Amino acid sequence: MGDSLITVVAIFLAAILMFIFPLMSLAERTDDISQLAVQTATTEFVDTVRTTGKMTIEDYDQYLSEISSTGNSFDIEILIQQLDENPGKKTTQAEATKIGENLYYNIYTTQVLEQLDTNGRITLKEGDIVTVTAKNTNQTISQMLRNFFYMISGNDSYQIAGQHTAVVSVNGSTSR
Amino acid sequence: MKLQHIAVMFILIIVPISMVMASYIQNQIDAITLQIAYDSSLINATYDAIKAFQLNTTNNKYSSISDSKIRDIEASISTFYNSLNTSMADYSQASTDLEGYVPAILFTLYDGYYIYSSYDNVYSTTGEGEDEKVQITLNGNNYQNGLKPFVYYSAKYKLNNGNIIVVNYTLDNEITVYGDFGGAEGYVTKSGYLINPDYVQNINTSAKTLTYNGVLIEPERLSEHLITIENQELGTTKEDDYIYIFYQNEKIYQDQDDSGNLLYYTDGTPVIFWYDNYMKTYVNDPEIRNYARECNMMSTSAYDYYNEAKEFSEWVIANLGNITQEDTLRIEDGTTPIGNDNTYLSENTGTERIFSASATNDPMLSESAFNNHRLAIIRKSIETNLNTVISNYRTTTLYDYAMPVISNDEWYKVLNNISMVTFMQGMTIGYRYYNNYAIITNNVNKEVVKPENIYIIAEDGTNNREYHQPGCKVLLEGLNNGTLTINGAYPIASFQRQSIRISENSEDDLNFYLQARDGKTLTGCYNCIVNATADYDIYDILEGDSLIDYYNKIENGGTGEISFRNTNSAYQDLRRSYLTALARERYDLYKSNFDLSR
Repeated sequence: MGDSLITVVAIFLAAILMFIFPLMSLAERTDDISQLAVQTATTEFVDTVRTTGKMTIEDYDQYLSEISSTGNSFDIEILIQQLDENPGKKTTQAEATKIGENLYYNIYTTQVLEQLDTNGRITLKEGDIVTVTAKNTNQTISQMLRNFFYMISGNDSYQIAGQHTAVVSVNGSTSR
Repeated sequence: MKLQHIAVMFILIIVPISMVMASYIQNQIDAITLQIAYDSSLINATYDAIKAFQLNTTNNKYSSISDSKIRDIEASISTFYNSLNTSMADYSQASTDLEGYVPAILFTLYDGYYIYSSYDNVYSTTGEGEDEKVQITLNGNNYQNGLKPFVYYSAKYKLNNGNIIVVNYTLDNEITVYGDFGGAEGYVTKSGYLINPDYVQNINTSAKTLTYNGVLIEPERLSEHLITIENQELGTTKEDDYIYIFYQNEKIYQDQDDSGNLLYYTDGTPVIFWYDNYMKTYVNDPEIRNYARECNMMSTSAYDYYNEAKEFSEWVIANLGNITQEDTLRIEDGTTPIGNDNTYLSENTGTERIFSASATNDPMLSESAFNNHRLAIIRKSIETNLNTVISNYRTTTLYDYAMPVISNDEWYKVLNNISMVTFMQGMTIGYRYYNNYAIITNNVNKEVVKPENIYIIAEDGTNNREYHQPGCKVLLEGLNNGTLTINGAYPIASFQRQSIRISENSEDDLNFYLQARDGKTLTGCYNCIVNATADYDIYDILEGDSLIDYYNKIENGGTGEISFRNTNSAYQDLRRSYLTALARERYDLYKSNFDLSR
């Protein structure tokens, strides 16, 4: 009786040690690599936008396909803050570069995507700020395995995320 | 063997493998994280540097003079290193070592470029034992970092008669041609703008009017809002609007009294001044005074531009009209033509005659053969020089420097604007070396007038003024239904804030905008300036084509529906202002290094 109990426990332990542990470690490595790929792709996307002064549907599609190639699904948030220097111009003493003396208009993901769909591009100007955040929405294998032992719940239970923000450095060319 | 033994052996095998894998992957992750951080630092530092250049040039009345330009560039390079040092401090790089990792900084300007890199510091002896190279050693090294000599965007061509001539290019359609043409022409040096001469018609030399591509070009009145220092000791200043003209690329303003009446000398000559160091420096030169009186303080620059460009272009077509890319001499030796080697230049213009400007090869337009060839020549020149500089870079590190490959899209950015390209390589990241570059271009400056660099000022019925991009839908619709009228067109730099320092205390600095005339604030249009949406293509306006919304264009999947026909009078008004301003600003651009014929 005692022996068979120990055997059952031993089989369980062996299963955890021999399957779950390597699997978890491997799955977490995969997530690390996905994380890296997503971060790199996000940085590249934002840097392209900032140095060309425009966000095009081609760049966005390429970014999408790059991050999707990690095998996860993502929730992408794009925020464009458009600098409005006009209020600062009305008072001649205002310091154009000082925080608080210029306004920013925000354009959020849905508006950005709508513009990209109709126009194929969004032109930006020097001083605008672009922020892109990508978070995974599916459960990765490592999350599933982890949930087997302990649960993390809530809205922001993402495992893979990439974020980058940059100030646009050039007025986007509006011609062909 | 028992099950437990197998389990232990399995763990013994798997654990080290998994640990090594984990550590390797972690290392790779760290390397890429570091690389991303370096990339950001590099881009940010480059942007800071170009921003410094922009601020220095827009606020510097002498920024176009060669020495002053070198100073602005050096200041901008030191901004680059400061910014890089600050952001790299987190990644444990000793700040003094950073120079060793930046093999080259490329600074492209209107008519040529500077490369900042290391050079051998030597001087040649004279007299006895002449031409011995003596090395100057500083801190144990004979090489130092600094700006290398200015390089023009130039190429040599072989004429049909075997003579070799040189053409210097710029970022727009201006060229300088020099060399021995042989025969009646002999040795020639000529500068000018290459345009399609057939477009220029109905020249009236007394009224100074002509038509360019159907657009009437006339003398125009220009004015600017200035703050002048009246008394330097007391620090009293005066704000007013002044009319101005250009004389030899410098602005000359006409003075007026406090109630706005223009001042004249008794003989009817306008009282004119230069705006030097924020003060009125009155002009005494009779030649300039005479010029001001004769033109009645109306700018004829646009007329002069088209008129001189026509004459120059006709000469170029007659003398260089047969040149095709085959006749270009290789940069490496400067004697053998490239012949039918179509891959030598990045753009293959085939058998098209490069300098033969016509309606099909209009140098003002970006897709002309001239323009493609120009870009290819500039690119070849930069590539060759940069490659040499980077591979010969001498420093204390043992890294083997090499120029990274720059993509076509990125070249296009570099070749079309003032730009700064910084290279950083040789730092160890993980198991490899960092090697990347940053390209930042800038279009707010006084170096070059690109078609996009002209803004149109429009006034509504209540005297409120806003500035617009020429391709702005709000502007065109306003002009079309009569709610807006055009109130001038000026270059982008005129809309930047100017600062005056009147005392030691920087809090006393005064700010003003050159185009905030009549005591009114001039704001940017919310459609095209703040939101940066230009609905119509600027090259369509340049060519005089009908305007089609961007998304309505057939190549963008639209229906091709025309929004404004080229016969529309509002569109014609806009086009006239735009073409006049573009010509005027190009003509009046101060070219410090360029004009060899003057």
